[in-house]
Parts: sequence; structure tokens; C-alpha cells
Amino acid sequence: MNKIIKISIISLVVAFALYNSFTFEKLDVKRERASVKDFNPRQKAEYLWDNKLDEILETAVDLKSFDTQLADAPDALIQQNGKVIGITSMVSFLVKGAAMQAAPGADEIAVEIADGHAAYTLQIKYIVGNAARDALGYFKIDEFKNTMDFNAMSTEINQLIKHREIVKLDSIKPGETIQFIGALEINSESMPSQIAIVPLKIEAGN
Amino acid sequence: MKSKHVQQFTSILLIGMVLFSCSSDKSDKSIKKMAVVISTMNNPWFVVLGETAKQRAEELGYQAVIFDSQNNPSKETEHFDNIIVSGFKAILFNPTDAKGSVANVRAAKQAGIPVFCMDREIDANDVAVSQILSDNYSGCVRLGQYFVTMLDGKGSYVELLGLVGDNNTWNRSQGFHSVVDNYPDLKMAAQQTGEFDRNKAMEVMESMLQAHPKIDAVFCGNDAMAMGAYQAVNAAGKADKIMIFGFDGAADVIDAIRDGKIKATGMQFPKTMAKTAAEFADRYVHGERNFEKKVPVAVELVTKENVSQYAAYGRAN
Repeated sequence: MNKIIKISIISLVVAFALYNSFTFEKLDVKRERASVKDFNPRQKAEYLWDNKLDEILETAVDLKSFDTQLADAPDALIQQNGKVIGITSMVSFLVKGAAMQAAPGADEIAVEIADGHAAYTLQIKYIVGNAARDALGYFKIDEFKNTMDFNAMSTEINQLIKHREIVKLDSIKPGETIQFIGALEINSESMPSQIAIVPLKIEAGN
Repeated sequence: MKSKHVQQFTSILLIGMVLFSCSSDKSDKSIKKMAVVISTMNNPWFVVLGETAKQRAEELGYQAVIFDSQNNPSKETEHFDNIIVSGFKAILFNPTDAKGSVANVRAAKQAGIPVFCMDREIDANDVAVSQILSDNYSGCVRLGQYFVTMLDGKGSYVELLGLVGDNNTWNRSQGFHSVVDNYPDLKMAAQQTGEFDRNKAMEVMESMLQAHPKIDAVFCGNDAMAMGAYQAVNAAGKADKIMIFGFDGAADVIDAIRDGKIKATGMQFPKTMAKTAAEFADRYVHGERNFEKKVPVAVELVTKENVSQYAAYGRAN
């Protein structure tokens, strides 16, 4: 009798231990959980910034040249240098130029170019939207599980711009020259007279 | 002799019937069918999406059938079960739920039926052939920038969210907040779902007005909710004090922007999405396999300043 009770207790303990040792999960669910767990937009954005940014920025067009082409041959400019995602008239570009540091507290810096066709400003306070992500073109929408993840990359890139680039302006005096490489978006259906540039790289000096 | 003639006549009749039935079978099989599954046909915006998809599929030579899921994932599953056994060549799909609808698309894929999502996204990249979606985030960034300008960067507002299981709800909200949250003097007094429904939004707005009588603006995740919010605000006698912002480009909101009742909306292009999905499906049926997984379609800001350029669900001709 005692033997039967012992065996029953041992069997129960073994069954309990085995039950808690395994979990069964559909492969689809497991893969989905893994992808959610693995998705780290900040890490992905930092990898881009630390390892790929400089190489991508080498393709930036000089702002003066951009401005001239936008006025004279916009279709060729868009075809050669523009980036378009999906069905849209919005086209993004990488441009480089120079400007003079503004007074403390400014939201933007005016970028003067000789005989410019449009007025350009460098955004230094509110960095929003997808211009930076789309002009860089490093992240592809098809690589993300959903558009929320893809948009999360814009949020992280915009944060990096604020915390790694715009902060550099703190040590530059008003009136001093800065060199920048930035991203901008235009609507190809209505050529703009004012264009905002999101800085991707800022350096002091001529 | 007579019976021989009868036998011959009967044989000829039978052969004729068999041949006729064979030829009619062949003609039935030659009719290509395309299914259009829509989350709800109880909202004019989705009616435009569904009807345009059907019309384009018919222009491309298909017999197109619309299935209304009535915002009910179980109903949607029933539709997919029926479609899979009914010889449809492709499915143009507007899902009820980003996660819940994945299993239906997977079942169709396993049955060899390609699925093309329209407007609403599913949370999987490997089951639908392509997803043609509004760029809700960018649209709401523009809407957020206009919102900030209209409120001069300060004030109190409430937000009416759409369906919480729909990615569009969160893309819109996140795009809007990516701008508005930069302004510390703009305070969100409350955020609640109006489930993309006009009546529900009106009820929610009535409660919000009781709890937060001094709000300056309402940001709504779609135009149906914007109209519901306007009804509540108007009934409370505050239509000239509270600014309302929507998203969609519905007919009544375009009129309301023109009349100054609604401040702005994000114009989506349901006809573009529906036509693109139908054309992709047709190309797939004809053997093409190289499609972009996600195709965002731009959303444009409509305000009193540019409303003359727009009509319901698109640009003015």
C-alpha cells in the first residue's frame, strides 16, 4: 500500500516537473514574438549614425547646385538625386551648404545662397516628420513588420539629430559660419518658394 | 422502326446536352472572379474604397464581389472561408484588425489565393502580396503642424482615437504627437476612443465637454468622428470656440471646412489605393511576382486656404 502511495506521489511530482519544463507554442507566434522582442529602433538608428551615416552623406548635392537645378531642370534633379517612397509627389534630397549661426533661442537658421530661387532655412528646434529617414534612404519600408515600426525609425533619427548634431550649435557663436549636410522634402507638383532643411551633420568653420 | 428513330433522337439529344453542359462548364470556369473584402460598408469612406476596387476589377475583366465584414473579425473569417472554396483569383482586402486578420490572409495564401491589402495594414510582412496604405504618420505630422499654428502653440485639447486594434489609429496619433508634444503649453486634457464612429464620437465628446469645458481644440482620428465631435460641440454652443480637426477627406468634412465648421483634415486617396490594389492583383494573375510589400500613399493637408483644390475623397477635377 505504502509502495503504491510512494509511486503515485513520485509520478505526480515528475508529471508536475515535466509539465512546467515545456511550453508549446505555434512557430508563427514564436517568430512574431521574437521579432517584436528584437526590434530596437534606437539601436538601429544608432548603428546607422555610427557606421553608415558618413558614407551616405557623401552623396549630398551642393545646395546652390540643387537650387539652380530645381529651377531649371527639376525632373532631371528628381530622377538623379531624389528619393520617393510609394505613391506621392513628395521627393526627398540630401543637400550640403553653409550658413551663419543665429542668435540664441532661434527656431531656425536662414541659409543664404547667391541668386537663390527659393528661401532655405535650417531647422534647429523642432525636428519632426520623415524627411531625414527618407532622404537617407537607409531603412526600407519592406524590412519592417509594420509601418509603426518604420515610423519609429523617424522618431529615433530625429532624436539623434537633436542630441548629437543640434547640440553642437551651443558652442558656436552667433555670426560664425557653420557647414551642414541636411535633408529636405519638396512637393514635385508645386515647386516651393520656402524650403526647410533638417540638419544631419553640423560642423563649425568655413 | 419508330422506336429506332426515337432511340436515335434520344441519343442525339443526350450528346447535345452533354456537349452543351461541357461548353457551359467551360464558360463558367473562364469567368475570373475577384473578391473585395471590406471592414465595414457602414462608413461612406469604405464604400468608396470597396466600390472603386470592384469597379476597377470589373474593368480589368473580372467578376467582382464585395464582402462586408461589418467590423467583425469572425464575419471576416467566414468570408475568407467562403472565398477560398469559391474559385476566386485574388482578394482585395481591407482588414478589420491588424493582428487578428493575419490568420485569414495566411489561409488564403496557403490556398494559393493572393491577397492585396488596402488602406488598413496587417501585422505581418510575409503573407499579403502587397499592402497599399495611406501614409497616416506623415499626414498627421502635417496636420499637427497646422494644429500648432492654429492654436499658436498653446491651449488645451482632447484627442478622439479610432479603433485600438487598427495600426492606422496609432500611426495617426503618433504622427500628430510627434509634433504637438514639442510644445509644452499645449496640454492634452483627455484621450479616448470614438472607434471611428460618428455616433460614438458624439457621445464621447459630450462627456468630455462636461469634464473639460475649457478645451480649445479636438483632434479626431477620422472625419466621421470629427463630424460627431462637431455635433456635440455645436449642441453645447461652443462651435465658435473649439477647433476641430479630422482625417480622411470625407464629403461632409470638405463642406464643413469650406463653411468654417472644421479646421482641417488629412486627405486620403481611397480611389488610388483601390485601383492600385486591383491592378496589382490583375498583374499577379497574369504571372508577375515582383511587388513592393508596402506601398504608402501620400496624405495631403486640406484647410480653408486650399479646400477649393479638393473634392470628397480626392482632388477636385
